[in-house]
Amino acid sequence: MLSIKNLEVYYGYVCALKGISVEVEEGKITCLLGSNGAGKSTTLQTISGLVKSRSGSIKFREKEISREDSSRIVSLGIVQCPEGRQLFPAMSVQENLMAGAYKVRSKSETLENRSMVYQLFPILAERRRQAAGTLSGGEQQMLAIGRALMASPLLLMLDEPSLGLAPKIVEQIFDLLVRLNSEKNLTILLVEQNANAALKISSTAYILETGSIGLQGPSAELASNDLVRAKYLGA
Amino acid sequence: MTTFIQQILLGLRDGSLFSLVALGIVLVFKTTGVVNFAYGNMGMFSIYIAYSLLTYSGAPLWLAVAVAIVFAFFLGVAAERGLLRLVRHMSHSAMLILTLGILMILEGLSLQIWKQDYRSFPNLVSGVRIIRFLDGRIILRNQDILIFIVAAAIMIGLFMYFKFTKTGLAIRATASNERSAKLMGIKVGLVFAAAWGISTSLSAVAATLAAPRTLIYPNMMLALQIQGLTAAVLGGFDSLPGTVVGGLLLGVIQQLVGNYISDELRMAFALVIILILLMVKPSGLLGSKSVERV
Repeated sequence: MLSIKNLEVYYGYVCALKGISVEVEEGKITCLLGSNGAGKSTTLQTISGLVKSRSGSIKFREKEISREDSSRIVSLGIVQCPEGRQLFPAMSVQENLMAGAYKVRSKSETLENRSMVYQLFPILAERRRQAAGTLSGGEQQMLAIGRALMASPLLLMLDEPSLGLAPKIVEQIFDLLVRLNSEKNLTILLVEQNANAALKISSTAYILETGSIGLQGPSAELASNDLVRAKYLGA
Repeated sequence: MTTFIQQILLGLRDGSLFSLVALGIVLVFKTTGVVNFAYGNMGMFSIYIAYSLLTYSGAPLWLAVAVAIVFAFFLGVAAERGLLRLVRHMSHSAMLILTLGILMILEGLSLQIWKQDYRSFPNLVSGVRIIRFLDGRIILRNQDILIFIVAAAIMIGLFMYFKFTKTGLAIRATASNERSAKLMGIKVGLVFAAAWGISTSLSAVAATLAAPRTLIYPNMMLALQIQGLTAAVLGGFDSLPGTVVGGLLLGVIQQLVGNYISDELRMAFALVIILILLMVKPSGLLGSKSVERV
């Protein structure tokens, strides 16, 4: 579905991505692991069109998108749920969701998405009039995911959804991702530092090391790889 | 008692104008992160357009004003797209300096075209209204009442726009978190241009309403711009309702000071009161704790 080939990204003179290649298969969960500064977020920013690549290609459903702007990329169905949630704190829960549906033209589709999000996260429906900034960390993460779902994504990209959350909440969020993937057939590209959980729910994994892909393969295989276990799973 | 009420009403009239001016300043500040120093002058230049249409082509007043407001909108869009966007990637101070440049260019241009003379501009409505009240009478010019009604209508309209329309929501989202707004597919470039356009139109509306009293000349908006900025600071510089309250309060304080203490000191005294208020509550009347953009 998404095919990245030899992607190179520079911040000024600093090379952030040294020609990485990643394949995201339709209907699967793919995860991108790595430590801080490895280039995970840069990869997502580049796919979303916030950062422009120097060379290489990003193809979405066979169509080159590396030169498209962020607005067009959302229209195509690639939606990112950013790191640190990045909500609109002074706006209400409902307004945050409606802002997420900016690119959805039809009113009925917007309302359908909204009731779907409220069904997934009843707590958000309860707090729909509350300012987003007053929610708990877990609820904010749910809202961030809900807001991304409002855009009717075909490919949902999540940047560290587990960041700063209690283990129980993380489990909830990851269960939800599995459900979205299996029930709604949503393709997911998951960026995580929490390698344990991410390898469990994904089918394919890539490990980024300072701007290049170190290891890649089926998640189950990587989870039992000694190198990975020592470096990322703390075992 | 009636004098007091009369003073309050006149204060609200001035205040509604301050609020209008302040809203334009805050709108651009919240979305693009820059305080537009040229704001008042952009309105000034637009009202000169209305004046010229009125005087030299004999256009009806409403048409001249409408053209000026539309002109202001595009002047704002042009300033954003043509100038500010070019330096946006540098820093907010670069943008700030640029608005100072626009301020001077517009002042120079209007001096060149229309010279230094004071020009008069008609009231939109004439006549006075006398309201019997308790033991006395309250006298208001119809223009005063119109100023208040127009300002209130525009402000209510703006709030509805921000609250209930998709583009209004997009503007708020962009003001809140630009990167996030981009990730929702919002075209922030369009939002910036729209914010500048709307803001500059507000300046033109304020200039239209104020012109009969201030007369038209290159520095006509100087006081209003300062008062608008003060109102914005008073309101916390990031909340639109706060800005409106700040403007109205400033208007009333100034009017009361002018009437009961000293007319010369009205502005100075009002500023002192605001200084004290801000020492007690630094985030402004309704402002949130931190204003993110510098």
